[in-house]
Amino acid sequence: MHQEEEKYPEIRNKLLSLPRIKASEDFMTKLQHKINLAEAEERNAKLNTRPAEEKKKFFGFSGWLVPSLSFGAVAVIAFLVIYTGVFRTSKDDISNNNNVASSQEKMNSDITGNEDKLPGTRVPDQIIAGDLKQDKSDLSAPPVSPETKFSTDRMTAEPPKVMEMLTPNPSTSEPVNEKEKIIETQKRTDDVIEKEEKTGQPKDVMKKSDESIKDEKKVSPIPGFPKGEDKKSEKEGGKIDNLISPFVNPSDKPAKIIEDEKKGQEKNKDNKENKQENNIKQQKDTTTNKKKEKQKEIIKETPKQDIPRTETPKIIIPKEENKNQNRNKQETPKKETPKQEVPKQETKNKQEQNKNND
Amino acid sequence: MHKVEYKKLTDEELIFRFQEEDYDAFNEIVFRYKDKLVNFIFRYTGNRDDAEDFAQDTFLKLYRSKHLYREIAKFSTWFYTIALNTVKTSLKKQNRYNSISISDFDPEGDKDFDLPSEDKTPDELTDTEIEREEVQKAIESLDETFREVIILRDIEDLEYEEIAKITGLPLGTVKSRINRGREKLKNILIKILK
Repeated sequence: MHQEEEKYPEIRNKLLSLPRIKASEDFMTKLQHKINLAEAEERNAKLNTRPAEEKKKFFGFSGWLVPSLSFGAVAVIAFLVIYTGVFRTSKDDISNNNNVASSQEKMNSDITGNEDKLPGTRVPDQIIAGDLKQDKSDLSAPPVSPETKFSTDRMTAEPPKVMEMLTPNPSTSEPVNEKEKIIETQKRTDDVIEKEEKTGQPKDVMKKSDESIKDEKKVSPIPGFPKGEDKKSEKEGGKIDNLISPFVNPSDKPAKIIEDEKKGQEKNKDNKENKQENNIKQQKDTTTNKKKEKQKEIIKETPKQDIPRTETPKIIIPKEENKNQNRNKQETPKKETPKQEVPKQETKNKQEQNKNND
Repeated sequence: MHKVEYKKLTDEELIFRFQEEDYDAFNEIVFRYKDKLVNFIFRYTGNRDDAEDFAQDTFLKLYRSKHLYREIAKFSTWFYTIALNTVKTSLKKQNRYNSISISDFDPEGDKDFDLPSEDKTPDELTDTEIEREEVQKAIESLDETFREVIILRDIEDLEYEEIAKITGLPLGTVKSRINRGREKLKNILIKILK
């Protein structure tokens, strides 16, 4: 050591004699400031480095793997859902088509009976669901009437089904009853005539027949319903009407329906009246013919002088006939032509009687 | 009482206390080594402001890396190694910035930028001060390998073994470098020595 330092003692002394530089007074404050800044940077660095590390260590995978895996999982789930949905719908369509076709085939086989047809063979007029799907030309909307074209409310366009089901339709129900009544009256008249032929009492029969006709002609207070049917309706359908009435108000019906109903009732009235007139005419014709025959027989049997003119039914028949004719004239003036035949026949009868008297 | 107690403690005891979050021990270390460190860095760099900045940076490094100290070597040798490394790295950064000339920003290249020198004029300097500046310039003119060894030995008065630990060189190389450095300084300071 000393040998090396003895070589250059002057330089060593010069270097050791150099003045010692001291740190400035604000050295400690500056140092403290730097330390505070460094601590703040460390805190920020820790806060910034934590999320990055957490991202890197998320599920043990790197950052790009997590979104890619999640996207793949979503795609697989979506594919499965769509595939299963489509598969189910196709199965349902096939099963529905098969069911419809089988049901229609069964229906056709039931209709045609036990014809020799193999299962699965097509009937020429048969409509299968598959054909309906293929034939799209007939799928166009049906033509709409101008009345119902712009009507949004169903009540204005169509009457409710409940009303149709519960209200009696006069067009269908009444003619049957009338026909039955006519048949009954004809039967009664035939029976009466037979009884007359057996017993010889023509007046009572006529009165009864006239009374029955009068009863039939009496119109019921309800429009479109005769009085006799009203009594039936009181027994049979009247209860239903009474039950319906609180639920269905006539004021709630649309005006078109009411007008249609009125028109139908008027038509029914006209039809009834015409039929009644025809029945009456038929009855009168039958009775007149029979009476004429009876008179002829009586004339043949009895001597001509003994028969008093007043007792003959000549006077009675025209009166009643005239009454009926007057009624018919008041009700139906157009149908007078067949009624005018009766006086002609009477005149013919008178002429014949005069000839016979002569 | 408090100051006296820390003054009695050795450097190693202080650093162990500081490792146990005793910040007063750190203050005592700063108080003991701030002048030595500023003087060492000033002789190495030749700039006072840089010397103080680098000294503060070395204390900051000590503050951050206190847990790295082990009782293998002296605290002074470990602390000087930190200081020497920080000075070297910071000087390298400064040399990178200083390599860009201001005249490079002049596109025409006609104008030269004359910066005012911080050095005192010869009239203002005394003989002793002139000698000190000549010695400082001679030290700055040495290479880094000779400069650091001569400063640690002839200015900071550290032992060869300690210098060998600080520099990480073998003891023989340290001795040879010190002799070669002194020889170069003698050749530079012939005029002053005569």
